[in-house]
Parts: sequence; structure tokens; C-alpha cells
Amino acid sequence: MKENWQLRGQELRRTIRIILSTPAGIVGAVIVVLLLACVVFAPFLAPHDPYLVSIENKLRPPSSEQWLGTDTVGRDVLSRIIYGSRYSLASGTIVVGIGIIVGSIVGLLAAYPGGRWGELIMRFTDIFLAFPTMLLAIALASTLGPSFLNSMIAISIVYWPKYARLVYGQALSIRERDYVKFAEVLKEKPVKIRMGHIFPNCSSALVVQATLDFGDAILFFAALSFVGLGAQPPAADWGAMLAFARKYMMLSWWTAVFPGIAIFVTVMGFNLLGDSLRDALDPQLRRLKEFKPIRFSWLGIPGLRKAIGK
Amino acid sequence: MEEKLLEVKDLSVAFNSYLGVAEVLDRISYSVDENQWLGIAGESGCGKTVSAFSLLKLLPEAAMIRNGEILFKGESILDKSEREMRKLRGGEISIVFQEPQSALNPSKRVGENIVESLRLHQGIRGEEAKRRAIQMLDLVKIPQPRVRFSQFPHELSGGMQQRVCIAIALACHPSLLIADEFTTSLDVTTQQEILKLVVDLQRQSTMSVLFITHDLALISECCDELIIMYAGQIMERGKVDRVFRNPSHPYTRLLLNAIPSISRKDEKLNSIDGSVPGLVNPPKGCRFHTRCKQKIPGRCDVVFPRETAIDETHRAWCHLLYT
Amino acid sequence: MDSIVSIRGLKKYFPVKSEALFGKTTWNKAIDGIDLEIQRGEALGVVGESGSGKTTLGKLILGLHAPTEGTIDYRGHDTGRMQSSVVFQDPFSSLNPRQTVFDIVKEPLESVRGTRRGQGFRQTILDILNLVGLSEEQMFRYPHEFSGGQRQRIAIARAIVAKPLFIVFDEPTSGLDVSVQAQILNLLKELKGNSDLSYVFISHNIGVVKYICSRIAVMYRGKIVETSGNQELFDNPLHPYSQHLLSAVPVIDETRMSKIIEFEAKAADEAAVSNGCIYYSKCPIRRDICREKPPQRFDATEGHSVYCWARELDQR
Repeated sequence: MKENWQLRGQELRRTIRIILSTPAGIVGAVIVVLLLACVVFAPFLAPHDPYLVSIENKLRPPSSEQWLGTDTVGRDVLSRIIYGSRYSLASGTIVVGIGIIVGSIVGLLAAYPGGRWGELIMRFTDIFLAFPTMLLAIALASTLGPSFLNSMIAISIVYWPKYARLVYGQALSIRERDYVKFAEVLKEKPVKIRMGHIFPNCSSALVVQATLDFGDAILFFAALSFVGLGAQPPAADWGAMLAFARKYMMLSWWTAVFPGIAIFVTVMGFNLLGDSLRDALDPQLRRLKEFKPIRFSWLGIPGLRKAIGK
Repeated sequence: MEEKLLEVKDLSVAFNSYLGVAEVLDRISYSVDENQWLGIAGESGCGKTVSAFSLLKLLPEAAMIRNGEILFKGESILDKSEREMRKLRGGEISIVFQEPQSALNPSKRVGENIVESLRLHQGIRGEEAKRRAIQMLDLVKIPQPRVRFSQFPHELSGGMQQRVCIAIALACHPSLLIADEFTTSLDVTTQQEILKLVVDLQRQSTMSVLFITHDLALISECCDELIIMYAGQIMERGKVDRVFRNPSHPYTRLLLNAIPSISRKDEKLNSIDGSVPGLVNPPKGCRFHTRCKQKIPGRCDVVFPRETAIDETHRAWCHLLYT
Repeated sequence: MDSIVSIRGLKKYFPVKSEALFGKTTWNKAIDGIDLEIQRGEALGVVGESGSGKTTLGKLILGLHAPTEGTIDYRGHDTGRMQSSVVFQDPFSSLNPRQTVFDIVKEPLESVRGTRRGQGFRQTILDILNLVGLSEEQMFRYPHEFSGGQRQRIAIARAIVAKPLFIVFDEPTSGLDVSVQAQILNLLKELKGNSDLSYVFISHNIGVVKYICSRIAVMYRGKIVETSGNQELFDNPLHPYSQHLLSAVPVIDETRMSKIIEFEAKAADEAAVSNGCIYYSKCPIRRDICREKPPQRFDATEGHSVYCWARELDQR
């Protein structure tokens, strides 16, 4: 089955090449790679201990010693931002992960074989979609009690219906394809048709939506942390940092601005990546779009193109 | 010598695509006389539709005209501005497409679709335009034209919609009608009726028809001359009965024997191995050589053969004919 | 005769919702009373124009639709092989783009043998692929790497691999070029050979049906109007619709536009003939009885039956 893997590898390289053929894709990819680097290498990248309180150093402005200054209890802002990437990525992964799993199961059950039960399931999903998302999440999180885990549960409950809708819509068109009809002629079990034929063909739409939502989920979590329902102090989390800095914003701008920028850049990075991923995975666009690879020397990164492979 | 209505000389068109540059047309030349039915036949990707669309300068943005010229009534089409082209399209040169439902504006009534074309090209408005539109509907043998005038396109069957498209195309008395697979989406019985209608209408006027189709049998029923294309090149050209009686290019011969027909007895179909080549990096020389059993190595795959005259109008392009 | 599928009084109505909010639901009679036998080892062609219900008939035979009325009996089924299989029209939608050729062809084998990983699958699949003209190195490729004709070969391999009793072909070559179509038709003829495999070949292309099939059924508006042996239908079509249809098929010859039989579309009140013959309004040889009673099956000769009052009365 070696050939199989080689072909998948080829496919992956082609996708990456298309993503890196637009400025938006490059910027998105760079941001996401930087974020991942922060998550993995936080202990090595952070210049100070993010939890070390030193009252005598409180509210120092950015300096050569502490690039982004210190917060109200003297903790290094840069280190806290680097560690905060872990919370952000974790929140995105958990929320989107639960969303995909629950949403896919619900969507697939509703779409295939369809009928009255499917309708009923989707109407139930629509009820969830009808609530204002932020209010529902805040209500749920405060009912469950403020903690990281509970905020994850709350956001996931708000998120899965979106994926259920997406999978349902995709599956509705896929179930009419002839390969599904062939499986029906074979009298395959519905579970096998869902998992073997329908779900794999929804997956590229899911990947794109997940990447786009990743940033959204991070933003959502930051908002919950900001109102005190997410990560709890002293956790190094961007939303919580913002909440703390709010009172001192006029006096010491750096405590608020830098976590804000971190959130902004991360969300933008995922959105840009998601957008170009959508272009790359859309077979229609792929065939029609005039393909003009950008010269990488233009970005000042000669050799990168070679590294990615032709 | 009849005057040439349309002349295409050495036309080469290429498309930019994700896979690279596709050489869609390779130095094709042909002409249409006044009052003539010319059929262009070929398989998918042979360039028959592109060659017609380039007459109207309706090519997609990714297309590049590499070489050649197109003369319509002695004037070069490629030099015309977009404004002049807009006057020409639907006026002097009209087109009927394969899918009538996508050619008609679904939110406008059948009559308004025709009136719009009359207003744009002939400046006819109001009651006069309505009268003319109903006249046109009657001409294409649509029953109850007054009722149909105020119906929406989706209320008509496919055959009736195609009749409306023909009415629009003929409303401005074009001298050239491009019929691009215009019966392909219809049932055989409807197809026959529509074809007969256009044949009758053509006989009543002085109009040439450029009939693009993949169905050689249809060409044999209505055309005077035909061109056989393959992968962007012209293989054979001539009067319909001559070409069908005496096909001179190996591709034409194979193609004629590959068509299952109800007049055949139980003989084996002649299949052509392989499939139509991609047009990005197409085969060199004669593009059919990759599937031709009689190819001459060192010649067919190197240069495109020169024109060989079989009789006064019948031409073929094949190395086998002059060795 | 050894019939493997026996269809009796088959009807399939689809609900058509009215555009008005609380409008009455009407019924689209896609199949409106069909009796048909599929014999072992025959190649049965079903021809008709769009809306004649030929594709719906194929789906009913495959069990993809439940009949509104009537029965379909399957006989001669043994375990270890497929009852029925199918090749669809569109080679781009009939293969799962996420599966390799190997996985695609393996699916019927797994399903029939009830195992997920039997030994010898690889060899069986390779043999089948060679049979349809594909090579070993193409076994682990994905559908998008193949041309339309090759994809249709894969679909044929998938259809025959589990040795079905009969295969339904739903316009298998109408998406292909003429030269490729000839390859596929020759392949189908070769595969069929003299085996006891039956074909149900649905197509609007009558030339193709004539090439492949031994018996042909002509459909019009949800009904079979004529069934006949292959050459017999072309030599001696009995139903006026069959005559009209055959006359409209374009043929390469020099007698331009002369042969089409034109029928005046007689404006007839459709509702008035709802009890009678479906072809009444267009029929050039209609009788009075045609508007009152639907025609019964009439066997003109052995193996050639027609549903037409005029023919029946003439011969009596």
C-alpha cells in the first residue's frame, strides 16, 4: 500500500503549494506556525517565569530587559503572552474538536437515510442555532461555574449545531451521488455508507470550516475569560490578561494592548489560512483559477520554495 | 465564385489553465460561403466550440489568440472594439446554445426576452416590437404565440424553449447563425423537429449556418459541407456526401465505423484505442498520431501534414495521402 | 423460459407538490403499470425519451425505489454472488473520489462474502481490472486521475466483480466520446459473451441499444408500448410511437431530411383520454376505442408484443 501513501503525500504537497501561492495564505501560515512554535517551545521562548510575582517590579513599561513590560503584580507580559498561546490553542482545539465530532454524528444521522427522523433532528438543531450564541455561552458557563473546563463545555454546546448544519448540507448532496446508490444496491448498512462514503467526502469542507472557526473559537474563549467565566487567575490567558489590565489601561497601556494584539493576530492568522485552504481544496477553483506561483524571493525567503518541493 | 461570408485564417488559440498552457486551436483555417450549412464535427476537446466562440470574441479571459485572423464580410473581427462586437453579436452573427434554459432570462417573460433583443439591435420598441415578437414565435411554429408571449420560460418544454432561442437568434435577420450543439439536450423526436425547422427557415432566407455538433449523423442530414476536427486541428473537410462516401483521413474512417447506428447490421464497432489527448503539451505533428495505427514514425509525430486535395472541395491533412 | 426477474403491474408515482401553499398534491406517474420478464442470459434494452420513466424502471428493478403498486420477483439467486448490479451514466459521480480503484472494486466482494479482509481479493481484483483493460499499476490510484472512459471501465469492473445475476446499465456511454463509447460497447459485448449474465440496458441512444441488446422494450410516458426482438423492431415496428421514434433517429446517409415522418400534433383534450391510450392525442391510426379503454398486450408474433388497439383489431 506504499503507493497509496505516496499519492496522499503528493496531494498534500500540492495543497500546501496552492496555499503558499497567495500572500494571504503565506501570512496565515506563518502566523499559525509561529503560534504552534510558542505552544510547543513556550518554556524556551519565554524570557521569564510567567507566574513569578514581584510587586516591586509592577507596571514597568516596555524596556530592553522586559520587552513588553510587566503587569499589575510585576509579571512579565511577554512571557505570559507566550504561555497564553497554550490556552488559546487548547480552547480552539477542544471547541472545534467537540463541534466536529458531535456535529458530524448529528448531521450524518439526520441526512442519511433522511426522512422524518432526519427532519426532526435538524429542527432540534435549529433551536440551538436560534439562540444568541454569546448569551447562551455566558448563561451556560455561569450556571456550570467559572472554570476553564466549564467554559469549554459551554462554548462547545454553542458550536456543534453549526457543524451539524454543515455536514447535513454536504451529506444531502453526497447521498444523491451514484456511488452511494451503488452501495445501496449492495445493501450496505447505513452506518457503513455514512462512514465509508458520505463522511470522507464532507471532510474537506469540515477542514476549511474548522480552520476558519478556530480563530472564532479563540476569540469566543477570550471573551468568556474577559468576563471572568473562562480561565481563572492566575492563569496566563490572553482574555484574562485583558480583563485585568482594563483598570490600568489609561496608565499602563502595554498591559492591555499586547494581549489584544496577540488575540487579533492569531484570529486573523487562522482566518487567512482558512480562506486560502478553501481555495486550495475547492476542486472547481483549483481547475479554473489561473495558477501563478508567487516568486518567493519577493518575500525575501529564497529557497523556501525548493524546501516545500515542486 | 461565391463571395466568402466568413474566413478564418491560421487561427491559433491557447488557454491559460492550472495545469499549464493548453493549445486549444492549432492553425485552423476554414471559410463559410453565403447561404451555406457548414458542419464542424469532433469529439470533446477538439476545439469546435472554441472556434465558434472566437468568431464572436466571446472567449474566456484566460484565452489568448496567438495567431491568425478572422474576416467577416471582409472585415477583421479581431480588430473590432467591444462596442462594435456587441452590435455584431445577435445582429449580423447570431448564436443558439445547447442549453435553452440558461440562454433565456428566467425572470422575464418569453416575449420580453425577444423584445429586448429587437430593441437592442434594431431599435424597435413598444407595440411594433410586440407584433414582431409574436410574428417570430409564429415563424418558429410555436402554437398559440399570443399565449406563449406572456408566459415564463420555465413554463415551456425544452423543445419550445429552444424554439424561442431560435426566434431570438433570427429576429434580426442574421447572415450567420452559429448553432452550438443546439439539439443535443433534446429528445430525438424533438431534435428532428427543431432541425427541420431551422432547415426550413434557412431555405427561406439568405443565411449561413455554422452547425457545431458531435453527431455526424445530424451533419449528414442537413449540412452542405463539413469539417472534422480532432484535438484542435482540422483533419478533413469537404462536401458531406463526398466525405461520408470516401473518407480519406484515418480518423474520419475510424470515427464513422465507431458510431453504433440503427442502419448497421451486427458488425463489430471499430474502436479507437486510448482517449483524446490533453491539450497541455499536445502531441507534436499530427495530434492524432498517438492513436493512429497507420502512423509513419518520424513524420506524423514531427510535422503537421500539408493539405491534400481529394477533389475540388474535399481536402484532408494526412501524411499517408502523399507518400 | 428461465426468467430471473418478473415484474407484474408495476407502478411508481411521485408526489408533486403544488406551488400554492396549501395546494393539492398531484402525482407524477413515472411508471404506470408495467409487466416485464427479464430472462436469464439476455440483454434487454429499454429505450424511450426523457420522461418516459426508463431510469425510474431501472431504479425500481435495483430496489432503489419502493414500488407504489405491483411486484418485482427475483428468482435464481444463490448466495456468494450479487443479485443485481449497476453501471451509472455519469462516470464522475459514480466513483467515490476518496477511494482508490482497489477499494472501489473491493466493496462488492466484501459485501457478498461478508468478510472485511479475505485472502485472494487482490488477485481477484487484479484479474477483473485486466479484464476491463486496466493495469496493475493503476490499482491504487484515485478516480480523478482517470479519463471518463477509464472511469467507466472501473465502474464496470465494480459491477461485474461479484458475479451478479443481472446488471442494469443506465445510459453508460452517453457521457463519453464516440471513439471511447465504441471501446466500452465492445467491452460490454465481450463481457457478456454467451454467459448467463443478463443485461438491462437503458438508453435513449437507439443505435447503442441495437448494438448491445437481444430484445428491446420501447417506453412512452411510464408504459411499455412495444417489446420485440432486436432486428424485428427495426424491420417491422408496430406501435405508431415506435415508428415515429425510429424515424427520428438520425442516420448517416444522403437522403437528407426526407425520411422523418411528421405527425400533426392534434390538439387533444388530455383529460378526456386519461382512461384510454396514452398516445391517443398524437396517434395517426387512432380508433374510437382508444379513448375509452387502455390497450392490452397483443402478441403479434412470437416474442413481439405491442400495446395498441389498432394493430390488434387489424389482425383479428
